Amino acid sequence: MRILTDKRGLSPVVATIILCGVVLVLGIATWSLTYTVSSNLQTSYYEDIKKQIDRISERFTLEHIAYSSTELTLHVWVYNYGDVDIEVIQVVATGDAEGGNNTAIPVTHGKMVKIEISLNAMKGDELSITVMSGRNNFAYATYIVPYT
Amino acid sequence: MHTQHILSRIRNAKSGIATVLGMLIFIGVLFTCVIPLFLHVNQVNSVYDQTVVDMKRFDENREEERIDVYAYPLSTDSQFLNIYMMNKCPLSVKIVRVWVNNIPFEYSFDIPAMEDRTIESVDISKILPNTEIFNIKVTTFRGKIFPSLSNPLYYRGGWTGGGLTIQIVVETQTIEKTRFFHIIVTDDCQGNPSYTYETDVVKRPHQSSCLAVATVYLTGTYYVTVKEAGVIIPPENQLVVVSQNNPSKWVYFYA
Repeated sequence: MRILTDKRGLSPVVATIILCGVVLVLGIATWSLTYTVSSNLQTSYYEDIKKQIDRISERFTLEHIAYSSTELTLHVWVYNYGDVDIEVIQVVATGDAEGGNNTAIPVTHGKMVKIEISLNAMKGDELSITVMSGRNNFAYATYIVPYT
Repeated sequence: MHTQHILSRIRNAKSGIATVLGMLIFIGVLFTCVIPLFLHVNQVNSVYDQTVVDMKRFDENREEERIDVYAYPLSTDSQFLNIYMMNKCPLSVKIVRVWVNNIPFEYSFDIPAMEDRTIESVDISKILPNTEIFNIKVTTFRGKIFPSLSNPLYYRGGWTGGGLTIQIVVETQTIEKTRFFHIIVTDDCQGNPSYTYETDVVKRPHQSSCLAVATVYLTGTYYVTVKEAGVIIPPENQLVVVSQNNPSKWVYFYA
């Protein structure tokens, strides 16, 4: 009966319970926030590094170049010999004749694609050809339009 | 008295409970969020570093790739080309394409380290009638391109090549056997030559022919003899005239 009637010490107990409740609520909120932030950081960090890994894994070359004087077209064969698929976003020919192709062309790894550039070149013209991928890698080649 | 003692203890311990709870939450955050984040970052960094190392090794291997390529017609008026390749690097090389002028021919063809292989009978009948000059090259899986050392080949009713060279092709009927041939090219068959070229060539089981290329320095008359195990394969001292008009001659032996 004394416990029920004796109010001494009740406030500190209630205060302790409230304090613990506040600590728990704040702690769980902090935990939840930290967990979310940390998960997002993990994902975004992985995605950033994955982009860099893909960028450094890209390997492609201008395997063959040919000019057709009847079609007035420069044919460029791009070979993707890297481990990742690439997208050729720009092929530019500069030098004695100029032209370009800005169509995005996907090239699966291990495959080759032919890209056409419309330009009017003469026999003996020297061309510098630049191929740019979507990950900002480049491949270069020079080509002299043959006399034969 | 006993109840008062308990209440007194609770009252005295109230700040400790919150601290302990706070500490537990802190440790929980540490073990479930911060440490996994560090581990994840480390793992991703390791993958990145490994990729850098792999690509560096890939580029080094690519740089090491070295093969000698000789394209030669099966006969002086053949519509087929054989591509002989000698792998001169310590890595296996995979051929993915053969180019004859602007026409790609897809292949998947491995050449083990320091060995030779021949791609047999590349059909060029579709482009042969309208083309005189043929440039042949091969592309490897690692993206390296090797032009044929016998480029360019000329077809003017019959095949000729470039440079002052004699290409000796030994064709055989026995594809399954390994055979060894000794080839001698001289400019004098009477025993007083000023130029002599001797080499051994191997026809491996998967090949129907083998090739040797003799580079000569002067135009003139040369004699080619092919021996197998000391036995001469006829004709002996086959006459070949290398001139400025015909700087590269093809000679065929049938063993």
